[in-house]
Amino acid sequence: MLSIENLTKTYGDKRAVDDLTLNIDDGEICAFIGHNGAGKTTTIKSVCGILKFDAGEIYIAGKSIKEDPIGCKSMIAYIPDNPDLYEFLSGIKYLNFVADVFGISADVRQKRIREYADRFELTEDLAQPISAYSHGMKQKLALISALIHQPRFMVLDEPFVGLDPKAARELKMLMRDICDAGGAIFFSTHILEVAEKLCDRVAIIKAGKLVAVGGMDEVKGDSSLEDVFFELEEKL
Amino acid sequence: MIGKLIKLNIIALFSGILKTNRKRTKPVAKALIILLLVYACGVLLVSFGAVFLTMAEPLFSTGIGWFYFALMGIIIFVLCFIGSVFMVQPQIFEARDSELLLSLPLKPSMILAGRIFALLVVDYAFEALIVIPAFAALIISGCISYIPMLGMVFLIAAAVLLPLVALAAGCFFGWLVASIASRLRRKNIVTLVFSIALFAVCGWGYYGVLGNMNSLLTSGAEIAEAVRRAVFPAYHLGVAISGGSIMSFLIFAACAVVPYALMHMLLSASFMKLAMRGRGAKKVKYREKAMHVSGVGAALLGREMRLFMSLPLYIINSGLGAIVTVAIAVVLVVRPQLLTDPIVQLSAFMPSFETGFIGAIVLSALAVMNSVSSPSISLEGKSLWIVKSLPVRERDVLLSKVMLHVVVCGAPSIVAGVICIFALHLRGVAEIALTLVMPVSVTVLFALLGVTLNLAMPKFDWINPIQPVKQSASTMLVIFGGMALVVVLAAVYGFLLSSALSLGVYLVLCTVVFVAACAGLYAHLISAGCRRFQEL
Repeated sequence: MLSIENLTKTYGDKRAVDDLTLNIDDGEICAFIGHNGAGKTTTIKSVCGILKFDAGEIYIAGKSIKEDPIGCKSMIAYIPDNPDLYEFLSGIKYLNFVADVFGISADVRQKRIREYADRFELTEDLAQPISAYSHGMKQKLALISALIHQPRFMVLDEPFVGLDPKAARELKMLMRDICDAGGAIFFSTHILEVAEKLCDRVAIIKAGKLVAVGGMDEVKGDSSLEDVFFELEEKL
Repeated sequence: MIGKLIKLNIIALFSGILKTNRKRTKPVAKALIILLLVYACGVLLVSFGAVFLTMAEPLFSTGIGWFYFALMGIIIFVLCFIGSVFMVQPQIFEARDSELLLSLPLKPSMILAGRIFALLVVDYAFEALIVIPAFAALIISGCISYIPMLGMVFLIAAAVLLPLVALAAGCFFGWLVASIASRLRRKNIVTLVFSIALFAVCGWGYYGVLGNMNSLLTSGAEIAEAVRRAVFPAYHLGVAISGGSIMSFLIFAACAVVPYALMHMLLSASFMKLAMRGRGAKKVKYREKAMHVSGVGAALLGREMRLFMSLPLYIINSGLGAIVTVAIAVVLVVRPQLLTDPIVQLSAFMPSFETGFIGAIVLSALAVMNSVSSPSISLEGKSLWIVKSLPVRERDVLLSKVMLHVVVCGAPSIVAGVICIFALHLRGVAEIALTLVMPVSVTVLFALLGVTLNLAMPKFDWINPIQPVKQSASTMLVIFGGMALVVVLAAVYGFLLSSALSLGVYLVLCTVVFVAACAGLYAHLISAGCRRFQEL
């Protein structure tokens, strides 16, 4: 589903991402972990076509994000680390806007909004202006808008921050459902226990370089992911 | 600490002008913005200087010199009031950093004082545009000799005190609008109506003064007497400066300080409530209904339109030309003689002037006053990731911003143009075509120019959306550039081409140049502009 080849992105003199190569297959959930400033968000934004990169290539289901950004973005759903949404719209108008962009028919969007809003317990608040939403409600709305076109590939930057336990559980179930249906998930997190339980693959980034990548069992062996992560941090 | 808060607020107020999201704003762009600011200040200084110079000698020689300073005080009050009233709401009542600052170990009264003093600094800047030409006019006219030494001291003291009363009035007005609006669901409409009404009253007053300048000079004594009775603080200000009266100065000082102190106390007492206003707003429960489906272009334009309509200050500041255009159209329908009579007088005064083109000229001049598209990229703010992550082409996003400007400002131009054609009885093909086409070509040009400039100088880290609307470099360039364009085009024709070309031919040539510029900017926007948008 995702193929990152020798991705490099610099900000001035600083190499935020340095020659990073990573592959995620269909049906896989891949956790992307690293300390603050390691290059996670830069990588994620490059994957989603938000950020132009200096070198390398990114393919989504075989399509180059450079050559066919619209085609790639049609398959992707992206949730940023901070859900800054259009505060001048109500929740339902925001969802309708996203549905318009993805060309979803009236009946289908109605059905999907009903389903996901009920699952995340946001239905009653959809008429409220987004400016009146809490952080968690904005995160839920961003998730619903990401799911509205039934993406094949989801890219999530710290998706569990601000979610209540029920919503976090729903999200984990949805992530698994998408992968079971042949999709894939690439998400960053600092909650290593969640990554360990939920993911098939893990990629650890430090100072812009991948320091470990592979199947979850392969990377952590008999240790916990937390132990492996700190071990790698100290070693390199 | 208070100094740091004032500095923080002033930086927030003005950071949009010269700082952009580019790591370094180009020196040429900086120089151009500074040049335009100097030009705008120069125009205001010269305009006010001319007014004061006309008044000084007649007023002082007839023994009503106090009226000179009373008028100066009234003009300062009005200018400072208008200058600050639209900043009060975003700066005090709707500031987005209130929660952050309240979480710090700072007294709420200190946070408020930092904000109020920042507004006061802005008012002092506005005041300088009046006091400097008023003082210069006194020196040039020789009327400075009428002022006693104590009067000069009171003039300096009054300069310190005058913005206080304007700010108190501005804060009261802002509080009143915010209080009424918070009780209503459509609070944006309340703010919009109040703001337009305020502009209408100020405009009416300004043009009333200009139109009656002659009667002001010939019947100065009667008008002065009326001012003395109606605006007694202004009278005492005038007497304090022109006669060095200590009692009058104390009365004026009390009139300035007491309302300010009351306002400060009132706001200090209710700052926490004001800062948290709207958190407990009544919940609107969602009821499912049929959803409206649009194409990508319509969805993007709808998004831009909703953002525009959600910010009354965006409408007022960026769509002023369109609002005046609508007002002109209404006047032409309701009381056409209000506008047709001056045109008849103009043709009698300047027989060579082809009045058939006045509609095209006025509507085009109004079109350059619109800057709807110039903050549109910056207004994406921290939500920029949404359009960048959605499967939409950059050109569609950029053109939706251009279209917003064209729809909001072009539609009133066309309607007013059609009404002009009938109300002014235009018959010539060139007159009719220019009345319709020229303002629209200017509107499209400025729509494209606004987006292009904002792409070059975006600013996303604003605290309040009114910052990119009012103070961004791209908005400044569009507004002052538009004013400069009008002056240059008028000067080129008046001084160079009027003997060689008829006005109609000149306007046709201008329109052709505008259309060509539109084509050039459009081509630039969909190529280099899209690449620039990708880099943001």
